[in-house]
Amino acid sequence: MELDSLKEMWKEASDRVMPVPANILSMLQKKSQRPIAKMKRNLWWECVTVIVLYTAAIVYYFVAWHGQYRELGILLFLTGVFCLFYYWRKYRLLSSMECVSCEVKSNMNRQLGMLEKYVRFYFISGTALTPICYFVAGFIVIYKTPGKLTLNPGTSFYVIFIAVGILITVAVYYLNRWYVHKLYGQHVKKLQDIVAQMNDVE
Amino acid sequence: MAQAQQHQPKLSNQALQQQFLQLIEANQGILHKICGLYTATPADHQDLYQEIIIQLWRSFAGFRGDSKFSTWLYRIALNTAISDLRRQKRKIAIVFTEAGPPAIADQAMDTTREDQLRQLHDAIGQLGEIEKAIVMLYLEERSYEEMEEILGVSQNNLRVKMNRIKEKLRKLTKAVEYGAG
Repeated sequence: MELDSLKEMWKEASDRVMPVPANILSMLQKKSQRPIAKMKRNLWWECVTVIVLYTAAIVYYFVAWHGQYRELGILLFLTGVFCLFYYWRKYRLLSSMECVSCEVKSNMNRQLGMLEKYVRFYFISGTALTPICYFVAGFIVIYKTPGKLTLNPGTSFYVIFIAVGILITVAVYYLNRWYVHKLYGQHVKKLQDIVAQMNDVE
Repeated sequence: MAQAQQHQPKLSNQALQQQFLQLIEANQGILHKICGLYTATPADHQDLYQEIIIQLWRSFAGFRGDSKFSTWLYRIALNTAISDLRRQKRKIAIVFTEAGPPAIADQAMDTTREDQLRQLHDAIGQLGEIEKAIVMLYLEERSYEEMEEILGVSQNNLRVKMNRIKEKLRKLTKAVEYGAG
């Protein structure tokens, strides 16, 4: 069957008058269900949740135990500031991820590049934050807790403390890698295939 | 004239909506064709159609006429359809041998034009996302120049791809005609 012989029939199919759906005006008010739009909305809710929980935890550490562990509150505050930067950066990446009115090839290249940047940022932030918080919080607790732990708890304690920290770092690295791949691996691969389809021959 | 244009008031939202609806009505066929190519079920078709309408509306106010309206419409519709990575179109495996279909001289085949169009549609469904876009624009008789503006792929590349796609479709439709797979 020759494609050219069916051009006319194909065109006739599109020239048939089709009524515009009655609910088209209501469609204009609806929210986009595209993954990027959904990710932006989820990001907003995550940010609000983090602000609420962190605020409560910061207040707690400033008030509880007569403020003995207020440094933990300061650590949480600094982590919270980083989280705000983290969400802002993710939102910026999502906002610049696509340009639907651009040429298809440049839109796909942009999506792929931005998604890879997004995934990299997500992975590095998530992997680095846990061990940093573990070590800083751990040292704060060691030096602020009177009685049971002294200023010099002993070499073996530090060895165990650091060993656990390394184990946590390695576990978080592999867990994060698996989780990020589960969330975005398929999308990245699909976009790579689409970009490859456009680039072959050139 | 230029001064009058500068002071021309922006269209009200209602007027903009009316203009938008008229343009959508005039291009309904194209939108449904794109939705049909990139979805497998009526529910997905409706979802994709709605998403394309939303994206067109969001970009409509910013459309300055830098490109033809059809170019702008195709870009948005194809970008929306191609990058909707959630939908996995059900792929029907069509097996055919490189040697060609077996001779079935006595079999009377119904080769009405509607059957041919359906076979063509099914065969196009087996192509990759970009190949579908190229063949659809080709069937819509868009020039290679306009296809280049829509897709961002050079005209030479498009011609080479189109020849490959035609060969692929010939094989796919022959396989269906002779009941392979």
